[in-house]
Amino acid sequence: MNGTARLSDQAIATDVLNSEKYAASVAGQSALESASPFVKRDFESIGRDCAQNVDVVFRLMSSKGWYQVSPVSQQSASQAQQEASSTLNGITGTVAPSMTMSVGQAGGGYQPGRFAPQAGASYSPGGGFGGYSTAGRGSSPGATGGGSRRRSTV
Amino acid sequence: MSITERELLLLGDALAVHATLAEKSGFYASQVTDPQVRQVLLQLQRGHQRHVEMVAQHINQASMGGISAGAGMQEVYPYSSQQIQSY
Repeated sequence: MNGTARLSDQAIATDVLNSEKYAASVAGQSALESASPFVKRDFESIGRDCAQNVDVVFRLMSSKGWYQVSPVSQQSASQAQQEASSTLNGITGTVAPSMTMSVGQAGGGYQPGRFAPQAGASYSPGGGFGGYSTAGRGSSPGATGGGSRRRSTV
Repeated sequence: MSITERELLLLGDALAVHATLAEKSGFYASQVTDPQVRQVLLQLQRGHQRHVEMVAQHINQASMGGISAGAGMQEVYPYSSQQIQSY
């Protein structure tokens, strides 16, 4: 040892990931607070770039086993489904067809459009929700620390 | 087109953030052992350098365009187009 600490590749990647998240967040906030179209446009562009960087670094870390994510447990999914049903019930007075799936369907990793209206169901986007779509809310591939995705390491 | 005082502050912060990130990415690229990680870091460095150029351009335009907040900006952000390109 020569007295100087050296960061591991994993530690460096973690720091870079967090820095990119911060930069993406700041750029997004700056865009929201900008009035001039050109400044706003560039902040938005920078924010997109940084968000893309987050994705690149996350995938790199994931491929090397430095950032592991846990799939949602069936218990958590069932609980979330019940809470969502309850919330929807409070808003619309009826349970949307998409929320009436059986508990057995929950969990098991990423399911695109898990909460989306089922084909042939009588759900009307312009009706009870006022056009709000819940499609794709189940999970997002390559989650980058956002949402409720849990990290088990790092 | 003039920018607002708020935007000038945001641009100044962004300039500092992305200049630091560019420098940090470059330094880290020289430290890591994994070539794949190094390649990503160099890619990030180039991206942040581009961001610095974008932001500095707005600041320079503001300082030349006579906005009320522009007084003294040349001293604070003395980036010429040539300097920016050679960053």
